[in-house]
Amino acid sequence: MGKFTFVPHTADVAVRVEGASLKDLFATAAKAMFTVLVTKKANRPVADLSELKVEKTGDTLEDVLKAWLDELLFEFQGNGRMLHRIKSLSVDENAVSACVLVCAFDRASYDFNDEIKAVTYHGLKVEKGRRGWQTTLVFDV
Amino acid sequence: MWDGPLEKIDDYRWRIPKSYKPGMRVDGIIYADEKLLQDTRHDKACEQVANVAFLPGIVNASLAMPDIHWGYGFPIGGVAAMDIDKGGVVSPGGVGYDINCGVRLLRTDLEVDDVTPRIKDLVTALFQTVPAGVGSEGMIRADAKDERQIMLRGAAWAVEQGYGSEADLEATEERGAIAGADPDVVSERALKRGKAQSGTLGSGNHFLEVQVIDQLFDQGLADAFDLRLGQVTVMIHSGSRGFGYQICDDSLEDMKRCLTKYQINVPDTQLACAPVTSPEGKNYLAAMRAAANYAWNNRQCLMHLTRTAFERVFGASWQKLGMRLIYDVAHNIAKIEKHVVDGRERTLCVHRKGATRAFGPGHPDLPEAYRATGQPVIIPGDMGRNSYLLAGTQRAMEETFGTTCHGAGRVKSRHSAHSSLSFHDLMKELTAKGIVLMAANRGKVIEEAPQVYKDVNDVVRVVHEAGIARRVCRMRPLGVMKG
Repeated sequence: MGKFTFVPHTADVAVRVEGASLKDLFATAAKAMFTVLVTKKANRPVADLSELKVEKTGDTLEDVLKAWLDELLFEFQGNGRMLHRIKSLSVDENAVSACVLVCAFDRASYDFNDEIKAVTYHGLKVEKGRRGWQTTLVFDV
Repeated sequence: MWDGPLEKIDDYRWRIPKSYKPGMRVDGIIYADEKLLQDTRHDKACEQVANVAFLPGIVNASLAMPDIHWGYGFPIGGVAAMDIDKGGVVSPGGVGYDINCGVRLLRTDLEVDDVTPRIKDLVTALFQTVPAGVGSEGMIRADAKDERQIMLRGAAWAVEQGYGSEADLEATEERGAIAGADPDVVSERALKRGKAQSGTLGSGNHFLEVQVIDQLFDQGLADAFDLRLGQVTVMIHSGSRGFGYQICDDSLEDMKRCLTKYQINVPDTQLACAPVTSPEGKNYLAAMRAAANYAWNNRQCLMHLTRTAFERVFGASWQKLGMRLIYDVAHNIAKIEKHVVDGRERTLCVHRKGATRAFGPGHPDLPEAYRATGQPVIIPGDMGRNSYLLAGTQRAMEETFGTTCHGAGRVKSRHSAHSSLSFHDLMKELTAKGIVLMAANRGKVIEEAPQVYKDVNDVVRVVHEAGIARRVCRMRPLGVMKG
């Protein structure tokens, strides 16, 4: 699993995300986003699991990453369902295909943290370095 | 640190010449004094003022108010007007995610001495009555038919449900509903994200404050607005919630494609835009107006709940308590307006992103009651200092398309707020000032501490001295409710 660190930003929340592979980067970015959205407060059985298929395309890798996170953000804010586990995930320059398990948001297990208005394009660049892939996400909160 | 050119025009205006960057069509002009200018250089907001000057059809200058700080595409505090007949564009980045985020101010007949002994009860009652915080749901229910009506008719929907009076609409910008909204261009996703959020305050910098007028600057205008020293007021700051966020995000995708389609060169994707007259431009404006109307309805519902809480605590109807709406203003919006440019009246798409309309005396769009005074302009500060009521001026009509600032402007990140400030110290500071605070998420309150904002007194002094709004009175908080 890759890693993420929060970086200072005057108005909003910015997170530096790193992953060994593109798949790792996308999975870590999703985890980072849910860390902004919620804080776990108790271990309780997961309620009402279901599968969500995500199939998105884009002109660039940045578009694909944003589309992936947008799907998960909408699932949370539109349907009240949060990411539980990624079952399968494949990513290339122009598409993401995934099957994820989502569960009902349980207020007894989690507290709301920040409300993310949107995943922004601000400075969004997915880059390959010597140790893998990296990007900085800016969430409008 | 931004080290680009800032040429002094006068004590309160600074120019970024269009020669700064190839592609700028007009100069950038920032309203600030020397002190605020130093804050402005700390992030990339000035660069964003220059970037906005690239947009097709922009007239006069890319403007920024003294509460300028970094935003997406446009800076917060950014103002730009595009000539529709000259290929002028509309850019969702010039409005922001929280479409028609705005403020309303109510007066009351209550004096500070009536409220201070009961302020804890009052804030508790407000907290119990007005849903706030992330994930909160409103008590005001709207089915699919109602949602359509809200998108088309804004605050009038709430008034019809009994949540207010006709006089409230008269005291709301655009009478609480801008024409030209089209519910059919709004995505299912936006509807879903906005569901059950009517009458909810939200989180972040949104708030509800009970305040007292602690300084009068203009007795004549204060009399005209029926305000006096020691009088209690209520301020509500909220927007279009998830509904507006999704509409902005949906449109950015469309607008990105327009950059190629209409061969528009911008230095930042978040400035994606389309000609106002193009199908994409029209669609965005139709959806944005639906969100604007949603927000006006939301603030009307919030005011109704606020009045209910006051009625409970003071045992009298809101009418008896004199809880009349002074005015409601949008501070994130794009509007089609007529302004004089180079001696000729032109039809412009005026973007105000973190900026407030401030029409001067005599403007035909103002309600009869404010035709002589100029438009009431409501400027919230932070939870520990002040907020202001100002009035629009003729000079604003001439210099800034009838626009002034919208608030204090952030200077510190949330990250740095957590590392340098403590909740305990903040509560001590507020208690010492006699301010009662209640928040849905105590952990997040520190991110809104007075120290993370510029001093609103400095910001308002600049717009007053520059002549783009006139100070009427200042308020200080007694009770604060945060999401």
